[in-house]
Amino acid sequence: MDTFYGIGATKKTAVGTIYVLEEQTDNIKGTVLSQEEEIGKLRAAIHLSSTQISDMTQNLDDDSKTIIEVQQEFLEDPSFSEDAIKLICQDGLGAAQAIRQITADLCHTMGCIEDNPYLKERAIDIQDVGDRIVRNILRTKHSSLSEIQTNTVIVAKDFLPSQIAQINRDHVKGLVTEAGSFSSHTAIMARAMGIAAVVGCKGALEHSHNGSMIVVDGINECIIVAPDDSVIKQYQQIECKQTQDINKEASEHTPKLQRSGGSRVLVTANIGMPEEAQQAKNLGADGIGLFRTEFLYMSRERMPNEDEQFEAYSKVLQIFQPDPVVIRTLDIGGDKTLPYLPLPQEDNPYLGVRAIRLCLKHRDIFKTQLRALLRASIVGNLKIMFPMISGLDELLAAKAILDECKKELEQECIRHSENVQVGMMIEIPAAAVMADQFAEHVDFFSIGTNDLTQYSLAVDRNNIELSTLYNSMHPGVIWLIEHAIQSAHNHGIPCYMCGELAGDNAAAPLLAKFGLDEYSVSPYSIKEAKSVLLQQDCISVVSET
Amino acid sequence: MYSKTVEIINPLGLHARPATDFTRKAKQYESEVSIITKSGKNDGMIINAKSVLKIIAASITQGEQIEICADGNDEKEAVDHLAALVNSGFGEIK
Repeated sequence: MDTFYGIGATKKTAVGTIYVLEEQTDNIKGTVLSQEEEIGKLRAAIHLSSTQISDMTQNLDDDSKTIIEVQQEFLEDPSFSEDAIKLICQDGLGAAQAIRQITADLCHTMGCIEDNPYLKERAIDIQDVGDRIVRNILRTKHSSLSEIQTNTVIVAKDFLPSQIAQINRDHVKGLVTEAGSFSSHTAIMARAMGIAAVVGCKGALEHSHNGSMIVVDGINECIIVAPDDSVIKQYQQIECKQTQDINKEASEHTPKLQRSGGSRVLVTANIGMPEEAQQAKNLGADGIGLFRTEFLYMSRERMPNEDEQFEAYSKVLQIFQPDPVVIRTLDIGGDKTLPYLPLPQEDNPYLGVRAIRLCLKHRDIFKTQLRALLRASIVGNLKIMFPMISGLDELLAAKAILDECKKELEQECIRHSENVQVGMMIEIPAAAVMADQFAEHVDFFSIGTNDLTQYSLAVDRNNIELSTLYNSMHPGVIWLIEHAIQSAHNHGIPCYMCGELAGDNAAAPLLAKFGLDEYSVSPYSIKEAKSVLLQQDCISVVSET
Repeated sequence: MYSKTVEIINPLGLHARPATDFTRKAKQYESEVSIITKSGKNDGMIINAKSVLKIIAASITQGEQIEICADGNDEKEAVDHLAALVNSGFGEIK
């Protein structure tokens, strides 16, 4: 048990398992050793890469194996070994520099061959293999923060803001850095995220080993590496109390809102896993505005069965009962894939077989989910939402399958609620334009502003080069939003919003004016969203009488 | 030095799996083996036949002629077997 002192960035404590974030300096401009030594490093790195790749294939299914085996083939290719040796001997490059140059050249050549998606994919494999060799030459590790398991404390020299942004708050309980001060970006972001953090903690990296236990104590401004069992217990109790305090604070400070006419305005939460529901409730959510069910599917090795899904949905409904919970049916395909559901490669995944399109093609998957939802409907206030609806046919087909599931359950004498509301996402521009027609067939709309923006403006939202063009406040997008809200209200149904724009302070005045009924935001933004809404003339606190 | 000229008859050309099959076979021989393109946009290009990456990058398609050359102790065997592989259509043609 070792204690190291630093600066407490947040007044919180956490107990968790260590994950050491290796520095990704990737400094390939280091000193070039003698030719022989560079060639030796290169050979050793290629050999190590080969072992790593074959280890990786051990636990894979056949399809994934084939992909990885291609990488093995590339690794052994003379382009890497022989050409790199040539560059080392003739141009005096270091091993890492040589591999970088070869990788770049090969990817360039592959990229230049037109109209060949296969080669474009191979370019990614080449890049992957090249990066692996370079990492092995430099002896750096590949760190992927998204792969981190639950109850983790990440220890690092320092974080890049982009790295902290990747952190899954449900899994990461604490951050420890050797660099940084109370006002460094790591400290600021940790406070914003409500994660226990100790920064400027010298010696932390050297004594931290992946997988061992650690205590992060932001109150006493220290970390305890390999704590004794009694210490762990003590801190777990403190942590438990902290959570209770937060719950208390949250329930005291998050008012319920109404419009001047008296109708309620809800600020609800977007969640991806049932475990987040309690936290969202504690943070003052008036319900769940978007439960992204795909994470249930993505977090396991096989399709979750009906009972597993029933359990997950029931848990969330139970926590929020009688408040509404909007559960969105599977939105997979495109950029989100399932390891156990092989889907064909598509040139334009965002315009491809995803979400409802995929569900209508794989009725068995869809029906399993709908049955689980219907069974859970007796537990609370369930609203089912279909994503990516572009035409009336799709909506009606989805509703028909839902009815089919209801009939099946009735035949099997399994109960379900009669009052399950059915709604749809407005995220395809055509659906927004035709909102009047859709409104006759659903109980609510929910505007997904992220996709609506990307599709309306023809801007890939993940393309950094286009980030200035990706603007949800573009007059064209705003027009569609206003039109969807008006159409909903004309037909007497409510309109919700679950994209980023719902939590955007700059958009709040406009959305409040349009009469948006529900703002679904990240659980941590609920408090702020409510206070921003309260600044609008038309919105006030519901008086407790 | 021994060589033979053959035509690529399989629909996919020397891409993907066919290219992998080709280099796997080529690597079984001690001789240096190369491909010289005889038609198409890269006419006259010399490619190391043991590099799947170089072959894929050359983007050799159906209908193109290639010369398979080998130099070494088992050159004749290497060229004959590789030519036969190309002529078999890599199992794509029944």
